[in-house]
Amino acid sequence: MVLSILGIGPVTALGCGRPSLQQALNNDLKPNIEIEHIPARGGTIPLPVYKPVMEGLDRYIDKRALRRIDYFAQMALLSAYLAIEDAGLEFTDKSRVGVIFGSGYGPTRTTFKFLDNIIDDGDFGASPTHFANSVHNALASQVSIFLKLTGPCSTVTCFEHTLSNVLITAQNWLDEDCVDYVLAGLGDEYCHVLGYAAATMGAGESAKLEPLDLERCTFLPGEGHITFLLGRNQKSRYPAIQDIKIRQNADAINSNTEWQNRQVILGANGRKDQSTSFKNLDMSLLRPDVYGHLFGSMPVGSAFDIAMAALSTNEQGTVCIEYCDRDAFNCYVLNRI
Amino acid sequence: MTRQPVYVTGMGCLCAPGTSVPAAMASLYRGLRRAQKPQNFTTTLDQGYPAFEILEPVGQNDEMVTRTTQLTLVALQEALRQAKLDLSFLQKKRVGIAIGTSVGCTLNNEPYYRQYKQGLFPDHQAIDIYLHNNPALYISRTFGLTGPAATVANACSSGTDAIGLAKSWLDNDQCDLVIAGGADELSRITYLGFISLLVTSTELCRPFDRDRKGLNLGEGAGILIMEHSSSAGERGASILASVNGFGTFADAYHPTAPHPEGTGLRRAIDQALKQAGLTASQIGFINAHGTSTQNNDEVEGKVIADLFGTDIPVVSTKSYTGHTLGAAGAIEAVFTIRGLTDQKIPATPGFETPDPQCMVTPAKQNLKVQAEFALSNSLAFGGNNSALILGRVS
Repeated sequence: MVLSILGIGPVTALGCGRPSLQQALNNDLKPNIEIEHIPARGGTIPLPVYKPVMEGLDRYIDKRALRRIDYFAQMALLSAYLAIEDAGLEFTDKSRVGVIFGSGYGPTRTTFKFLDNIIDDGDFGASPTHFANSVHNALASQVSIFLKLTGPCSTVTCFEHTLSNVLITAQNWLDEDCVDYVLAGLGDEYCHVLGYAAATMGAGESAKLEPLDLERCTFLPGEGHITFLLGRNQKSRYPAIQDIKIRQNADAINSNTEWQNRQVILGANGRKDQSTSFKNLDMSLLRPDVYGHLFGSMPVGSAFDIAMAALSTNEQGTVCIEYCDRDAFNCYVLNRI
Repeated sequence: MTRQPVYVTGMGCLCAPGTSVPAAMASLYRGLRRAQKPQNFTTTLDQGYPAFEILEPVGQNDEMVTRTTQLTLVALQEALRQAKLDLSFLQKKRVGIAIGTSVGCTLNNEPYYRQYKQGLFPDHQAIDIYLHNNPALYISRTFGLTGPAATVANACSSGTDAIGLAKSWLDNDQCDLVIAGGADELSRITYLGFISLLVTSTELCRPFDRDRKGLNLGEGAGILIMEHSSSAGERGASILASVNGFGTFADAYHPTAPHPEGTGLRRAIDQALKQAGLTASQIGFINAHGTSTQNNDEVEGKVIADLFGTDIPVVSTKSYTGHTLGAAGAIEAVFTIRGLTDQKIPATPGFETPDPQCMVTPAKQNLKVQAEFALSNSLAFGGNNSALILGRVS
């Protein structure tokens, strides 16, 4: 396979657009971290949360139209527009552009707004707008509607298996000649309920996310979206995704001597439940880079690692390693072509 | 690239008409409709909206396993038995799993959220349950599968799309065998959501009828075991049907309404026919999406009539199951395969008076068909349109 990355559209705690990631790679930019006050017995506890500062969507969409779509879909739309702009492409046949999106938790704010309607106003109070926007595929469909893309449009949601599914689906659509381009988007949004749930599971015990501290729980919730514009075997300024190996165990990774000469990006994000698996990787051989502390913890967080790999100047290529299950990792191999 | 044909070697389903494929089909052929006021939850609405619930006990009594996962497991066990599959075979092959769902992937636990809002500091059990019950991941972990695991969340086309995804994995040699289908429980939240959209009927649904007033919700699961003949041959499994073609396209028109001309559906059907190497005249019958809403039936009927003529046999099995959302496409694929095997399709109860706007007339009685291939359609929120072509295997 060769999945060409033609454009990147990040909307993250580092900002919006490719330059924000480049600045962070050069250590010139710090993420936007806001303190949320999580309800707890006897008061509240502070929880640092990585949040994007959204700006620029009104360059692409009329402000009045924006009122009809929720925050998460706005994030996804901005990310999609930025990816297309980054690629410098204009689609001549919009029926040949597919949209595949993935998320760990889906549109959580709207989901709980819908529940608020019912709990606060009774069963008669259910809002059709909130309901329609609470379904997981609302993002992908809003992108297809606003951009008038009439190719295949799909959404997958399976926590740490989401990224691999999104990229494999994009690859298959391109290989099967269903499409010429794919907008592959991944994101998650923070909401107060997720913050509370995260805190009950250890988030905030550390004020700082330290991905390589595998002894402590340091995870802090993140929010963001990234869209890749992908094509088939096309020349690009970015390295291409040349291989996706799913469910690799630590032994297979440690013994892959070819990968030891490459840059390795580890998708560690401070979660204690994943640390046991990461500990099985031989860090002295892999000498990994980590970027989880720039984006916060999200099930689709490794998508941001792929963007960082795409921006890397490393000539030997990069392997992004993502936790997917107990002692199982998905590996994404990027190379310049 | 020459692709090997993809076959179905096992099927399982449960829905209001029955908790196995034979039981459900027997109910369909007898014209039984088991809908009533929901039994598993209450509402304060003053009007009743009938739903097609499964009234029999489902699965094991385990509070850590959601009803959607239980439904998936029951359908899966039936499919595995028919396909002569055991754990050792599944674990030594590259087995993928693709499950469509709507309710099954949503973090909307109402009791948990009520406690949270009331300041009662709920513990994280509800979150644990949510994290462990993503349908595809639950099955993948339980059975120790080594292939890809995808939960497809395309609203009402999720089940069909999961089958399409499975076909793609097999076509591209990413798996040796795939467990594919869909599952959704009837949820109070979804029930209230659909009522708020004003697309739910207080009467039993009447697909394609002039006087239709909307859909009824349902619940269930459908599972197909999909593989190449070589893999089936290793264990002497019978081939039940072929999966010949799949197409999916977006309308890019409206978040909850189909394009008035059905542009996405037309292209999905065209793509499925092209992939199958068939023409419209070779399709023997259609299991329509047929939700009984004004918009869906009018648009879908028009597209069917345009592409296949007005005489093609059409059935909407939602008359028996209600709209089972993420499970619908998978359950309907099971029924379509049985229709091909039996060379017979059930009547569409509720359909009485043709609607000139819909242009198709489902049968009022069970109908004998001569069909080598059949089409199953799914249309979804967000403007997703998917079409699946299944073939009879002698």
